[in-house]
Amino acid sequence: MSSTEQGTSSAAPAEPTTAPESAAAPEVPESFYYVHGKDKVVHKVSAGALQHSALIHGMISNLGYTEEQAKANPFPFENIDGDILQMVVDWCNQHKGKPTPPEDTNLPKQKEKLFDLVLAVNYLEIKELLTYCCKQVAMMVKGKSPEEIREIWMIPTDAEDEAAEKEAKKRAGKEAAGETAAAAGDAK
Amino acid sequence: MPSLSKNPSPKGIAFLKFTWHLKKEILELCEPPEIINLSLTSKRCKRIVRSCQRSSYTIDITMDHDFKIFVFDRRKPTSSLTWLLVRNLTVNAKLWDSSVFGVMDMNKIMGCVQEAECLKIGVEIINKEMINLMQKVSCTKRFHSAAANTMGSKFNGILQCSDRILTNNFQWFDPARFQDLCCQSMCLLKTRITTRNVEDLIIKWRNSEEKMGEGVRNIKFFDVHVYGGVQNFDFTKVGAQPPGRVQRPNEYLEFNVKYDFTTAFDITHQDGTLASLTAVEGLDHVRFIVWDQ
Repeated sequence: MSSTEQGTSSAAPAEPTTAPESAAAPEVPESFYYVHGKDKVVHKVSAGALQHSALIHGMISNLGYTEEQAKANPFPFENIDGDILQMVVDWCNQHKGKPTPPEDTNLPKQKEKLFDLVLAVNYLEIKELLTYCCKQVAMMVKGKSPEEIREIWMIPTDAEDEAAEKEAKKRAGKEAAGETAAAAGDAK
Repeated sequence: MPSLSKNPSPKGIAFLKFTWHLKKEILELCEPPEIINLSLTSKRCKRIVRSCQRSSYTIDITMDHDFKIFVFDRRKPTSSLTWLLVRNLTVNAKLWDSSVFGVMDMNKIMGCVQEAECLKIGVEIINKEMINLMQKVSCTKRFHSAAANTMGSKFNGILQCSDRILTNNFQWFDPARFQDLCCQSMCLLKTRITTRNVEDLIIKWRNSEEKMGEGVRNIKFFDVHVYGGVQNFDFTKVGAQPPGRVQRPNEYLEFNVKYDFTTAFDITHQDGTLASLTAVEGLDHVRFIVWDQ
């Protein structure tokens, strides 16, 4: 496994603009976890940043890993492309401990990336980012005609849907027939 | 683990490949014109739009010299829009700021509208086209009709309005369905409803085991112009008692009209709710009021 440390390893936590007058609470060392996607590239992410993901937060909350244990056991997200996971990690780092703004303009503009991002964010249960992404998908069809929406959201026509349905039925029928024949062969 | 990504083509975003929950999330963030336009793209999308029904929309329909559909988004009043459905069955859809965003087929638009909170008929005559629309689009809260002539049209559906029915001519309505009405306030003029139909509704109300506000117990007041006169109205049959046995108000204000119940008969529901009933001879009206506890 190739391992590159990215993300919060270099990002310092945001400094408050005005220091509180009261004595600062003793600093607790921040714990880090490691995640990797389909490309096996490992990303180092702080527990604070990972709190955005309900899925990962639920996984790590009771682990009590030491730094070494966490490094040795990165969370595998084999179903998420490396570049998409990188985007998600970057977003979590950027918004670590900050209130999320009403709009986020740093999301990918390419439609195929956005599709994958929505699925990944939904899987990782990052609520705020999911809302931004869904908003971006919704904005794609703003002011568009039905035909334009069909093109942008890749919606098949009724005829295409019917043809696909017929095809699926035919395939299911063939598969069922195949299974029956196999079962009959086994019985013999 | 299979990859999450199954987007087959870079030219668009495969909306239909999203899970139902994601489709719903996205549609929640769309504006009314886009939702309607999406439902016009295919039957499948129409089903999706229906299944992700948004509670934040109010749809009002006004049938005037032109048809108007007013879609009001409670969350964003500025994005509300009006459709002007003109006679040649095309639709000029207008945003609230009057910018036209497209011309569409009226039948397709009506195919998308299933419910209207408020249905208003502002013309003198109710024609078949309007009756068809009323049968297709259920009116959930208020129905107002100023029409005095119904051209013999008949309505075969049920009026499901919960708040108010106010009509100058109700002859298009099947009198046998009168006892199915569960509307809070009704003022029905020129009807085919007979004393028998009214008696049936009151008996249904009296025997109802529903909670206050549910089903027939939602009825608070009605004033019905009865076909054939009120002289045969059977107060005994509906279990009404002559006035003076219980203390109650003598007047009720509804539709900006003060109704006199001084000489009205009283009916007590099995749960103790008191109602009063009066038949006004000469005017041929039956009036019914459920008093607040």
